[in-house]
Amino acid sequence: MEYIGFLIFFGIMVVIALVMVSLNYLLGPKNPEEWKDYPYECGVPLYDENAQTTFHQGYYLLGLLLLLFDIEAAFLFPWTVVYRYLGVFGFIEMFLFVLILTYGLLYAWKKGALNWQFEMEEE
Amino acid sequence: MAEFGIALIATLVKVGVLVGVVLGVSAYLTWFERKLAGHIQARLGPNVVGPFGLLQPLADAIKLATKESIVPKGADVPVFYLAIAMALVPSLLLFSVIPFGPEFTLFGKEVKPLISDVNIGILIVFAMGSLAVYGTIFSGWASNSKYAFIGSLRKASVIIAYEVVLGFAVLGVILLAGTMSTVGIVEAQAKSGIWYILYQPVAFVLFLFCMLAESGRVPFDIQEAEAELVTGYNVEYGGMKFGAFPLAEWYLNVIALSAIAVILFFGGWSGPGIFGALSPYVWFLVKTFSLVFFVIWLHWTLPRFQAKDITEIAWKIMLPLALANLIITAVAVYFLGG
Amino acid sequence: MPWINRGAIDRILHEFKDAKPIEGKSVSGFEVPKSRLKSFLKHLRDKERFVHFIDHTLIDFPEGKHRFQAVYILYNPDQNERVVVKSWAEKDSLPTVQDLWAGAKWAEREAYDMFGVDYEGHENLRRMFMWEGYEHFPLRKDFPLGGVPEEELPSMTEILGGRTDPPSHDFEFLHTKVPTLEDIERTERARLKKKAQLVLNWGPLHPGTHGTIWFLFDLEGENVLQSDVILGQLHRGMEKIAENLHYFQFLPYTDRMDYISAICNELSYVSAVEKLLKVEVPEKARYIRTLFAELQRINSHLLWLGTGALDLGALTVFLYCFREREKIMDIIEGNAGFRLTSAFLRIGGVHYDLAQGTLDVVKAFVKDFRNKLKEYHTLLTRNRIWLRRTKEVGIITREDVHSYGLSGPVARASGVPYDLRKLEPYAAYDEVEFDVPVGEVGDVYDRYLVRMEEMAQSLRIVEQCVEKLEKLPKDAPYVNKSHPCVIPPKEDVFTSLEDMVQSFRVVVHGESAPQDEVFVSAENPRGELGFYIYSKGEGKPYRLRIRSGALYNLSIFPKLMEGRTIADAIALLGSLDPVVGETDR
Repeated sequence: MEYIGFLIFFGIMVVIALVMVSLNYLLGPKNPEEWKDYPYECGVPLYDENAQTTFHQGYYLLGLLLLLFDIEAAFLFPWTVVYRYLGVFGFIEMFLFVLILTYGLLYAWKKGALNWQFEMEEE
Repeated sequence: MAEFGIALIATLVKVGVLVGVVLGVSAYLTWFERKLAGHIQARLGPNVVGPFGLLQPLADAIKLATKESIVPKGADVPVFYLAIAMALVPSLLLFSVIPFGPEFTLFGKEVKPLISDVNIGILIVFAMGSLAVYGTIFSGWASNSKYAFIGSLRKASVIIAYEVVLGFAVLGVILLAGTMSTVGIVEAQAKSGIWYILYQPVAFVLFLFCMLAESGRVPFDIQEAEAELVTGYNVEYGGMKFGAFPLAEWYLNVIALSAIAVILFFGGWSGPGIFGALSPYVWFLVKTFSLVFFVIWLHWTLPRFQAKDITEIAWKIMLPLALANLIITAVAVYFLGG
Repeated sequence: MPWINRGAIDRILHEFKDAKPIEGKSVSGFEVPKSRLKSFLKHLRDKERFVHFIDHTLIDFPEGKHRFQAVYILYNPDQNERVVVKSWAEKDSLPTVQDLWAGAKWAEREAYDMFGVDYEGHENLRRMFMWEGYEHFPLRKDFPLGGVPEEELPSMTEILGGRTDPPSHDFEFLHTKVPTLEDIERTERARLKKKAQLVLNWGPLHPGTHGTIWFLFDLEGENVLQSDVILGQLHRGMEKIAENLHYFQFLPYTDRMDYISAICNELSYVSAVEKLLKVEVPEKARYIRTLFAELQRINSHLLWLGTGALDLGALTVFLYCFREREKIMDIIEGNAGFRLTSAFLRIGGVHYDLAQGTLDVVKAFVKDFRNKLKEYHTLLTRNRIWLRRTKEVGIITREDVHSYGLSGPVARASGVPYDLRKLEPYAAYDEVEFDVPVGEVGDVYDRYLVRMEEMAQSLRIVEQCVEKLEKLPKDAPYVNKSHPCVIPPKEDVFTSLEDMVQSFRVVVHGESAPQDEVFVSAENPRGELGFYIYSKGEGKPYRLRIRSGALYNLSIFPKLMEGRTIADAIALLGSLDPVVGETDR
C-alpha cells in the first residue's frame, strides 16, 4: 500500500512536470526569427559549431569512483539496520569491509584519481 | 476492496495537499529569500507588487508562463524537455517519505501524515538525490551550448562526490536508530529524548555540506556561477522551462533536504507540546525553516568555491571523516549498546 | 619624472655613433636608423637598465621620405628615468621587439592595425581593434574622420526585414563598412588555432568580463590550454578624434575612456596639456584636483571590489560597495554637476569652485568610510573560501611587470613600487603624505590587499586635502586665467570683457601650443595612463597617443591563464581590473 502511494505521487509529479514543460508552448507568443534559436555564446559566431563533443576523461574517472563507493555504501545500509542483532560477527565483518574500503580510497588518492582532472599528470 | 478504496482516496488527498502546500511554500520562499537578501544587502527587496511585494511570486509565475518557448539550434529536443521532468520529479518525490507529524485518528481511521511510510525511507532519499543529477546532465548535454555543457559536468562531478559522502554520513544515524524508516528514526529519537545531533555532530556537518552541494547553493553553486558560466546548465532554457530548475534545486531540494536533516538529527516533530494538537507540526516546520533560513543566509554571505576545491574536499576530507565517524559509531554502539 | 640624464646620453652615443640625440623638446632620447633599432633597444634594456616597457606607437608624416616614425618609451626603475627612442619605418616595416618586451606584442598589433606597418618576426600580427579583412588603417592621416563611405548598405529598415521599427534616420546611400558575420568568424579563427577539445567564446556579452571584452579559451575539460583576447567592441578612435579637436575640446572624451575614474583621466590629460602649454595651476585648483582624484580612486576601487567579489560569488559585498560609491558620486555630482563622466577639470584649473558644504560632506564620508573598510575586511580578507580562490592564483613576477609594462596596483602587488604619484608628482601629491603599499607574492590575493590598502591611503590624502582647503581663503583663484591659453571661468566670461575675449579666442582658434613633444602620465586606479602629445604648433595636436594602463595590464592575461581553469579566469580578470573604455579607446 505504501508503495502505491509512492506511485500515485510519482504519476502526479510527472503530470506537473509536463504542465510546466508545455505551459510556454500553450500560453506564450510564437514569433520564430532567424537568430532566436542560436545557442548562447556571448553573441558572437561559434568557434565550434557543436557543443556535444568529447569531454575530459577526468569526469569519467569520477563517475567510476562513484559507482565503486556508492555501491559499497549500499552494502552497508542493510548491515547498519540489523547491526544490533549480528553480534561480534557483524562487528568484525564490518571492520574488515570498511578497512578494505579505506584502503581503496587511499589507493585512488595515491594514484591521483581524486585530483580534479588529472592535475598530477601535468606537474 | 472498500478498505483499498478508502486508502486510495486518503492517499490522493494527502498527495493533493502536499503538492499544493509544497509548491505554494516554495513559491513564497522565493519571495522570502528576496526579501531576506534585500535586508541583508541594505536594500528593500520586492515591495511593489501587492502589500510588501507579497504578490511577486504570482507575477513571476505569470511572466514565466507567458514567455515564448524557444529550443536552441542543434538541441536534442526530447532530451531537452526530459531534462525538466528529470530535475523536477525527483526533488518533489523526496517529500513522499517526509513525516510531518505523528499518526493521528481521523473519522476512526489511523492516518499518517506522510505519503508512503516505507521501511527504506532514507534509501529513497538517496535514490532521488542520485536521480536529480540526470536533470542537470540532460539539460547540459541537450542544449548544445558550451556553457551549459561545462556547468552540467561540474554539477555532475560534485553530486557524485557528495552522494558518496552523504551515504556514509547518514549510516551513523541509521546505526543508532536501527531502522531506515523516516518515521522510525523520529520515533527512536522521541523515545530516547535525545536528538541525534548530540551523538552525531560530525555527521550533521557533513550532511549540511552535502545538502548545500546537492541543492547548488552558495558556496557550492559552481554549476550556476553566473559570473563564469552565465547560470550554467540552464542557460538555454526560457520561461517556465527555466523556472523549473531553480524551483527544483534552490527551493524544493533545500526544503526537502532540510526536512530530512531535521528528521535525522533534530528529532523530527518531537518537541514540547505547547501548541496543543498542532504542536508536532509547528515544531517540525519551525526546525525545517530554521535550516532553510540558515542556507539562504549562507547564500548571501559567502563567496563561492571552485569545482576543483569542492570535489577534492569531498573526496579527501569529508569521505575519510565520514568513514571515521561510521567506525567510531559502530564501536560505540557495540560496546555501549546504543 | 626626469628624462634620461646627460651622462647616460653621452655614454650611449659613444656606443652607437649613428644615433642622434633628441634635444630641445620636453622629452629626451635618441633617434636611430631602423637597421640599428633592435640592437639599440637591446642595449638600452640590458646595459642601461631601461627594463620597463612603457609604450610604443607610430606617428604618420604622409609627405616625408619615410612615412611612419616609430616611438618607443622606456623606463629605468633604478634611476627613475624615462627615455624616448625614435626610428623611421623604412618601407613601412619595423623589426619586432616582442622578444625584448612581451608588452610590445599588443602595442605592435595596435600599430599595425591603425597604421598598417608590418612588424617582421611578430608571432601573430593580427588586427587589434578592427576585424580581419578590413582594408583601411584608421589612424593614417589620409583616413577621413568620418570613415570611408564605401559600402552600399541598405537602410536600417531593409535590414530589419521590412519592419519600420526602429525607423532609420541615416539616409546616406554609402556607409562605412560594418563587419559581417563572416568577418567576425574570420577574426576569431585568426586569433587562435584550436589545440584542445573545445574553444569557448567568453565574452563579449558576458557578465564576468565587465564590459565587452572577448576572450577565446581553448579548453581541455575545464583547463585552459591557450587563450587570446579580442578587443575593439568599444573602439571609438579616441586618438583620431583628438587630432581633430582643440585641446580643451578633447577633455570630455577622456572621461569616456575609463569611465569609472573620469576625474583621474582628466587629471592625467590636463597635466599633459599644461606641461605642453606651460600653464601654472593655482594652489587651490591643485588641491581640489587631488581631493577629487582620490575620491574617484576610492570610487573606482570600490567598483572593483564589488564586482570582483560578485564574480567570486560574494553577492552582498557588491551592494555594500555600491552603497558607498553612491555617496562619492553625490559629492562629485554636487561639484561637477555630473555623476559619472564629470568633465570637472579644466586646463589651468577646475571648472567650478568648491560647492558650499563639500568639505563637511567629505569629512563625514571619510569618518564613516573607515568603518566600512573594516566591514569589507571582515567579510573577505580572512574568509577561507576567498583565500582559496585568490591565493597562489595568477602570480606575476617582477620580470613580468617590467616586460609587460604593467603598472598600477597590479605592478605594486608584485613588489614593484611603481607609483607615479611618488615618482612624478603632479597636482598636489608632493605636498601630501601617503604610503605606497606593495605586495610580496604578486597573486590575486596580494592585488586585493594592495587595492584595499590604497583605499585607506587615499582617505589619508583626502583628509589632508580637506585640511588644506579649509585653510585657503574662500576667494582664492581656482583657474589660472592669466595664461593666454586658458579659458577663464564662466562667471568671469559673463562679467568681464577681457575674459570674454580670451575665452572667445581660445574657443575659436584653439590653444596656440608650441612645437613640442610631451609624455606625461598619471597614476590611475587602473595603472599608468599616459598622454604622448606631438604638437606641430597648431591649435590641435598632430598626434595624441593614449598609453592605457588597463590595456597593458590585460595583455598578461593570456599568459596567466595557461593551464588554469575558467573559475580562475574571473578571479584573475577581476584582479587585473580592466575597463574596456580605456583598453579600446
